[in-house]
Amino acid sequence: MNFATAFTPEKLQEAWEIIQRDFLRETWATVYVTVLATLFAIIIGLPLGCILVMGDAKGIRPLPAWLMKTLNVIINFLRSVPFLILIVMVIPLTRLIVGTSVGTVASIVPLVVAAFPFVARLVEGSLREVSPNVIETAQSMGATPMQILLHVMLPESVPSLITNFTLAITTILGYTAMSGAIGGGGIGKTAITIGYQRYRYAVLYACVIVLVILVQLFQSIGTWLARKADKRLKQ
Amino acid sequence: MIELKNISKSFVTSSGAVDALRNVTLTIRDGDIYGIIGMSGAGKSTLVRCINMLERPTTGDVLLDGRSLVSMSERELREVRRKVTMIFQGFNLLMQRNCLQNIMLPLMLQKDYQKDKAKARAEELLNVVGLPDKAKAYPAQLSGGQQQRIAIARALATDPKVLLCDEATSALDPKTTHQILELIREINQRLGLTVIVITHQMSVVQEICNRVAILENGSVVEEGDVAQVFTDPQAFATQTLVYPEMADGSASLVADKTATQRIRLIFNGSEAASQPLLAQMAIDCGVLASVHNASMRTVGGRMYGYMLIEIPGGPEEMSRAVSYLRKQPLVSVQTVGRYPAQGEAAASAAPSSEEGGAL
Repeated sequence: MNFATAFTPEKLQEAWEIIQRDFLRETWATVYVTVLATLFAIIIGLPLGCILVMGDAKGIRPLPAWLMKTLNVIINFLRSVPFLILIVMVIPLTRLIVGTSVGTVASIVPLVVAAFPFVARLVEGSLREVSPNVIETAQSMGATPMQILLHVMLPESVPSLITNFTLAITTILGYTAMSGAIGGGGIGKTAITIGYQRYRYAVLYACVIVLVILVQLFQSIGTWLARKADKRLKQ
Repeated sequence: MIELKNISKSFVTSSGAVDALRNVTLTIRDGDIYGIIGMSGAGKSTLVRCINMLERPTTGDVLLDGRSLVSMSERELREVRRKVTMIFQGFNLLMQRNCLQNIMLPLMLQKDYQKDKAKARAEELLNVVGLPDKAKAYPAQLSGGQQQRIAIARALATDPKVLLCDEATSALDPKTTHQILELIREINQRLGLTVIVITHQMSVVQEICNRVAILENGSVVEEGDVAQVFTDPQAFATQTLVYPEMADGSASLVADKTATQRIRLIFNGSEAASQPLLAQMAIDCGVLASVHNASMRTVGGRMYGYMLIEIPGGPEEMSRAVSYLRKQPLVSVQTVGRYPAQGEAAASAAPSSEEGGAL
């Protein structure tokens, strides 16, 4: 990268045109993919995380050890495959669900596959924070395991879950840039295909700035929501 | 009625099996406020959890009104737990729910849950525990005593017959402890609730219990009416609980094994404080007794405890004193040789308490 030639007035002028042309659309694509992928990852990861906690040998509804072991192995496996490789690995699945393996919508599938095990672990962590005394109290009231989950464990861990989901959404945002390398849409794609591969470094930096702003935005909203939800904080 | 029959519980730990409870047999009658007291590690918490089967005893059975809990299914036990509720040392409220929602929780778990009814019931219970204005407050905004009140209200929501209190006042200061105990006593009297109080504090037992069992190393070493156990503790564990001063072993008591002329007075609920017994004895029969040591407690406005007095002079003074004291109501008299050496050793170590001085 040659900085002297990357930021001449002509280059900046050109970059500005690209920004005006592409950025709104691509930023929207990134937000859209990120939010949808996070949503689906939560839809799969939340129940999975609940099962991990409840089904544990010391949990409130122990499940067969082989089942728990299998779940853990699958989650650890998916968590250890590098995302770029995972995108390629799930191409058949992506084709099955979306009909194609390229494009903005198609990139949601690998994102979800990569993120749901992560979300499951985060949910597991949140639920394990719930005081065992409070769980025992619910048992002493005659609550069933399902009632303990729904009326005690989940409501009690809402602030922690929000914090963790915020972590998930910012991580997934980072992944969307990578999926841009393999046909996914969004600001990450712009950064790679225009900024990097066509040497428009000013565009590359502009993309990074947009990503930073998005992360800040998601994080601020998440932190604000978590604080607002947490009734332990005295007002 | 709750009958604990030969309850034993052992835990398998990495360092081998631990017997938390050994052959505990107790009967708790309806309407009792039954204290189970012991040092930490005595097995109290395990025992109370056996009563609602949060811990299943290794052997033995719990009979609730004649029904065996050990043979019940989880489903049946969940029904029982709505009638045998529990409060805890740490209050264990849901921190993300307000007080009203916390009290409604046990009702929400019921099949026939109706929100309006549950809400009305919770509001009624807020009044019972004296916090009618805290419906919308969150537990973090309340003091420890207030949190325990909410926990009590929650425990009462399902109209239980038995309330288990697991060190319910141990995290509270003495004044708040007193208020919470008052509330428990009031509930016991007003609703006819049977209360089982687990504690390591003798003062708690003294304040509200009518019966008490002393647990040591997983076994019941003594059991009976509180007044009886307080007055005349038999087991060594009980003595150290009743008269903790003795536990430090500073027992230089036997100072005067030679002084044979000693009388042990046992107060069984006399209104002794209003009557200077020893001064009266000096006037009435001319015997000047000196207090060797004493330990007295007021339970329900009456005096319980013992006093060890020495009678100077010869056998004649002694017999005059004994016959005078025997005439007093609710005071029993023992000459010193009659009680066991260990009891004497322990008793003599106790310094005079201020109540003793009033006599």
